[in-house]
Amino acid sequence: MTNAPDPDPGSGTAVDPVCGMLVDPSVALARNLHVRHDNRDFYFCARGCKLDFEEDPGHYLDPGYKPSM
Amino acid sequence: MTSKPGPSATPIEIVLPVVGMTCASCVNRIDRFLRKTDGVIEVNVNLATEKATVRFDPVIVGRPELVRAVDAAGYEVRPETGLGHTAQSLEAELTAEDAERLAEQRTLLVQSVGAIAVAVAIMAVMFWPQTSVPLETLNWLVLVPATFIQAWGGRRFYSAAWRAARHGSATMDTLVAIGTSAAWAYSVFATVFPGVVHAAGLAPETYFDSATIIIGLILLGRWLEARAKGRTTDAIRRLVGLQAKSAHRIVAGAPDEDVPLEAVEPGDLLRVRAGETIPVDGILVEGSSSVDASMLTGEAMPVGVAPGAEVIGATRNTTGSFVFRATRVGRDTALARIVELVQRAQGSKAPIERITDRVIEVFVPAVLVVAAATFVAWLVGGPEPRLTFALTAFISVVVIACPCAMGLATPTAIIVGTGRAAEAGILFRNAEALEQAGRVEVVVFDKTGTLTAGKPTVVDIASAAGGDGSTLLDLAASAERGSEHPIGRAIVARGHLDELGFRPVSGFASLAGHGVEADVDGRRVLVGSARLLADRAIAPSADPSLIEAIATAGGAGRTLVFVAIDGVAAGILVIADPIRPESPEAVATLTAAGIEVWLVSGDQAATVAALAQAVGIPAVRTRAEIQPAGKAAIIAELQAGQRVVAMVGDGINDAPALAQADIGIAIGTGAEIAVEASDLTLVGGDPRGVLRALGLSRQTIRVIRQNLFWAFAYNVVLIPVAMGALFPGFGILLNPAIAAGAMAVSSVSVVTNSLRLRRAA
Repeated sequence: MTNAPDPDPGSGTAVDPVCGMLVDPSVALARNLHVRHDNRDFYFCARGCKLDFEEDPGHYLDPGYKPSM
Repeated sequence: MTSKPGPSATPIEIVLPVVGMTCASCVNRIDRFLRKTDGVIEVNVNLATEKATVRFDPVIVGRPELVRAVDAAGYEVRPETGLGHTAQSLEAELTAEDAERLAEQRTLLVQSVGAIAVAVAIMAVMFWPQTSVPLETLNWLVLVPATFIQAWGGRRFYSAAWRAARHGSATMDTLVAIGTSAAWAYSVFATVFPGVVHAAGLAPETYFDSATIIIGLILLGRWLEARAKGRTTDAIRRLVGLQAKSAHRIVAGAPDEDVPLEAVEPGDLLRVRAGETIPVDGILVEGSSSVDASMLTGEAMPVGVAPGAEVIGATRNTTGSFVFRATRVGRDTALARIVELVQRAQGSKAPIERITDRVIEVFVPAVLVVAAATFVAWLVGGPEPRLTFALTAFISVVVIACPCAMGLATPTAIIVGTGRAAEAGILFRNAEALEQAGRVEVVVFDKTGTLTAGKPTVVDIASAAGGDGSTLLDLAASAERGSEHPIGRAIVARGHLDELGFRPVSGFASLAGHGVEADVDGRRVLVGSARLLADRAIAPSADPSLIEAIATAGGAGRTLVFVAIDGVAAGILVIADPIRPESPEAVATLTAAGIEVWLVSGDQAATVAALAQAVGIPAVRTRAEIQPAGKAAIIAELQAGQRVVAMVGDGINDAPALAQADIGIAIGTGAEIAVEASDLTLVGGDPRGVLRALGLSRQTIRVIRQNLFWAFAYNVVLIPVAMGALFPGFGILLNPAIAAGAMAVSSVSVVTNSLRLRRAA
């Protein structure tokens, strides 16, 4: 499992940086579970993860952060 | 009771259905937001059920604040439909569940019959004695139907195995999926590349029949299991079915209107006619009758009710007609709370089940290892044709080891056991209480409301020579009609029971603390204490029979009420908290069952001693004048020798003792049905229910042990056989089809064994 968020929405899946789940970017975009941060796109599985991320993006992008799942 | 710290009240627990959770982070976030809400004590968020269970202090916080907290976390609480978990909505839910289960059962049956039919056809084709069609061609012929069954009937196993695999676990579905896939995949290979198999020195035999028959038999087992499991919740269904469908609401100045149960609101006046079911809980305001509550309490005798009496929804009115004011409707009714309590108990886990869960967790991976080892052993050291033997043994081990009988052993018994108990008016709070109750060695009774009725009642009437008891009661009850005093109410209630006490009254006067005085039918009636008579210079009685009655009735917690008519002592009414008629039998049967029975009460020594003697509890096991905290201390003393102690109390004054006891048994009557503080509630309060509860617990535990024994024994015996343990000595190797059949039989037998509890005494 990688901690790095997938920056490419064309690849079919992205990794939720908070929980580590695989997310379909098109579904996430449709449900407004998308954040642009530092010129990178992030996709989330649910609103909770998105809100967690927005509160403190640095925490979840830190290479030492391990998704809780 | 001890003083409470601060403004806090007893915590309550609610369940919020949460929408939108997808991962563990969601769970953590909701948990965090709920916890930082003031007044929240405990939070449990479940991703699988999409529910958050919250314990909180109702004084500080309420449902709206909790909903806001979930909202702030980014999720949504599903709005409750209507009144929520009412008996009505439960009935609809059960009907929907029934329809769903029936559809599922039909699918299982169709798929299983289809798979078995295809398997039989394959066997017929493959083993028909003929030589004209080569094996390779036959293989191609059966490949199509076998693959169809694998995909159609086997789909549920693949998807369940996949779901488990994603969480890094393996279940019985994993075993079925692996076993049948191995047989099917090898067969496809042998069909498509017979040359490779020939080159290995083997005939291209296929196992399509094994794969399809395993799927067919296991689905057949699931079908039988689903049918039997549907019956485990019969008890709930029967309880829910007790409720009335509609009510007759009284409309001022108009005829009664018939309204559906859902439309009844607290405060409505409702009429109940003879023979009808009482729609909701309430207080009787007009008329009198007797009510049969046996469906909720197990008590056979109808109970008389008069104005002021509480009536419980779902019980049946017998002969009279009356009007009552609805107090609790929907999910607040006693019936709805009983159903909820039983459902919660049925869903809870017994300590014994946690052990089996852990066993199952390591069991499936262990079986896969054993099966792989078996395969390798046959392939390396087995006789020819090696691959055939290795594959057969591998498939048999995987299929036969399905631990579903183990998984069913405890929950089915708990569900049937608690349901059966509920029908007898015994409500277990959870599976742990059900498991523990059977181990009880000492039962401690509190006096009030357990061995006695718990409220003052006229137990005896003695009239002076020349008078008669019913006239005395008639006059006294009429005079007391306006009285608010509990003793006055006891006299009125007794009068109404005998259809007396309705004479015209004038000049009523309440003589504070001493009694009442009124003109009844032109006669001056005085009802009150001995001192009242003395104040009026009326000799209590010169009548010798009355003097004797006074002497025998005195003491032992009894109260004497004197009645004077036209200035002359006419008789006495003896008021006491009467012993329940079932109490002596309850104590005797408990003692006969080897259980030590104690009586611990806050009442005066003489009262307690008299009661102990009447019900047959020896004086050495009687303690009087004990405060609630002292009761808990006595329980602790009794527990000293590692003995399991049950305390039977009314659930309100006895809370500390109930909590100290290993099993707290509350007597729930009327409004107090389904007392939360106890491990076990006896609805209706028949003390004989204690022994019955202990017996039901023991029977349930016995069934669980039998189930576990058979489930484990079956695996312990048959896994080695499937591995080929009997092959060297006897040449016996298990056929995979027989393994599948045995597996199905073991699950069905476990469920059937649990269903025996439906008839438990």
